[in-house]
Amino acid sequence: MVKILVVEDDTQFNDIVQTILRQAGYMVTGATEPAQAYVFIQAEHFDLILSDIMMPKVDGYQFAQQIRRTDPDIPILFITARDDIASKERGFNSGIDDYMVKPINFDELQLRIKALLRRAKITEDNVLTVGNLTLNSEAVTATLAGQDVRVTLREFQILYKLLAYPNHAFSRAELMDEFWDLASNTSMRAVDVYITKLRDKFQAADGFTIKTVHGLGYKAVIKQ
Amino acid sequence: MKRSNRTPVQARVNRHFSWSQFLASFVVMSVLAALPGLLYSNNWRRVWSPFLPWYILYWVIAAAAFSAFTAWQKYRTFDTPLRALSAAAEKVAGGDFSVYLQPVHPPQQYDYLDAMFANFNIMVAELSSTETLRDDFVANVSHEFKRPLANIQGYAQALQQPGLDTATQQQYTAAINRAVSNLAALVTNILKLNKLQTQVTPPERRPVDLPGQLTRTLLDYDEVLDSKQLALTVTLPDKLTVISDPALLMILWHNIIGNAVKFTPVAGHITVAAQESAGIVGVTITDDGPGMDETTKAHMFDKFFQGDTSHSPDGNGLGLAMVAQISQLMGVPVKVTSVLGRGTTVTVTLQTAQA
Repeated sequence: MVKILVVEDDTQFNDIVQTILRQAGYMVTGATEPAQAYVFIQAEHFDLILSDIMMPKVDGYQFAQQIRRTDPDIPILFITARDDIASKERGFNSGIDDYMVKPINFDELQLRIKALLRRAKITEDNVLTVGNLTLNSEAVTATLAGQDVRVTLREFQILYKLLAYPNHAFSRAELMDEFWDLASNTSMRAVDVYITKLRDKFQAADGFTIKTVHGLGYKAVIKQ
Repeated sequence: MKRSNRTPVQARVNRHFSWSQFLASFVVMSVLAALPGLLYSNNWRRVWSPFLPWYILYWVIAAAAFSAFTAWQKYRTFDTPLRALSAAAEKVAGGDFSVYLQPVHPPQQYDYLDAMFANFNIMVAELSSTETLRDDFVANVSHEFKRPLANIQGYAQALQQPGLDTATQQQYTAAINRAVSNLAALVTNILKLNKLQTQVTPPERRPVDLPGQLTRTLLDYDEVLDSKQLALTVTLPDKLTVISDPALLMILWHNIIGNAVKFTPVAGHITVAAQESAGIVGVTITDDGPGMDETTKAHMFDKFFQGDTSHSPDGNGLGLAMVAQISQLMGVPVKVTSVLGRGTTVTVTLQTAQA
């Protein structure tokens, strides 16, 4: 069972977050301040931490930095009322993985927790599994229904990116910036060529499809 | 109405005639008049004549008459208008902006007092309009806050009645959720707008990947575009760099494209295009939505104005106010043309990196 630690000094909000996450099937522990949170962390292993920023004594930034020193991989999600870019930047610089601004939508919170846990698991195992497809990022291999599929490095990277952020639409330019040389003068249509190849090679995949988004970009849609 | 606890100040002393002025005029006049005689006779002892008291009396009367005349002059040309100005200023200090000072001369013959009166009237009119704006803003803000709050309160109370079936309960909680999202969006937008209005640092000017920003914005509306089955025609070059403030420009696109997405009916059509010529880039966002009538066009940039009330739950009338503010801050023209029943086109004019 996945264990989540909620650090939040507003007890009413802390309670409702715990209640909702328990209903969603997580094991939840609540702490009202970082000092208490450290005690819990030393006693048991958590899979994810939700933290506020503005707390008395130790603030969220210091808390996140402290956690990062001992555990570089545990996903940390900030939930805070601060929505300025500077606070976000400071948060991400302190080593957090995601940031939500209060008031939050709890359905979205659950989606983000799922995505964070998924990515954490992918980083841990170097393996991403969607339906009958398995991608191994260390060996750069794709296995579809038990059969190895030959892919180039760039094909693998694009597919991996799309599947690591399912349902998020990436524009051609964003994919290009990430996986092509800046100096290359390749046309944006090169991305389309790669997507066509990927669709062709992974026709038999039962866990996802690559969807064209209004001719602007692509996203991987997970089939239920 | 009154915002400060400062109270208006009133004049306490009435001064028209002054003894020192009278004495000074007497001395100066009598000595000046006697001077030629004294110099000519070359003997100042001759001053002590029996005529001296009469001489002094004569100059006392003359000095008194002169002082009275200048006092009256001062009273007529200086005191009366200043007194009117003082009374008017006192009213304004007390929060009454209805005062009007009538200049004495026709505009062609304004002296400095008339000009002062005229400027005072302008100043009061300006003060009064900002005061009204502020009052309207506060009234609007509280109204916009109360609307969702009333819904939350109502539905929360309804939820407390015993024996509600699950479907009804879910319907009520969904209503509460909607109201809360509405409030959250309202607070965020008011803060954003306030930040834009009080921004002191000039906007950045650096290269911005224009097609990148427009594409990202459109992709952010991916789900709504799908669910409303909107057709999208995008004509953008692969690369086009403009000089602007990336963060502000992004807010601009989100508000303009967001409006197009919101107001275009199901299965409608949105066109986004950018064209460059001689260093000037024109970005046009066109929809075939309901368009706007003249009243809506006249007020679309006003805070909290919503032309189409059927969409009011999805917005708070701050989007275009933000667009106007950003347009003004960055000096970027935003032109809106709209035909009722035909659709709306927004054109944003930017400059390329080369220019």
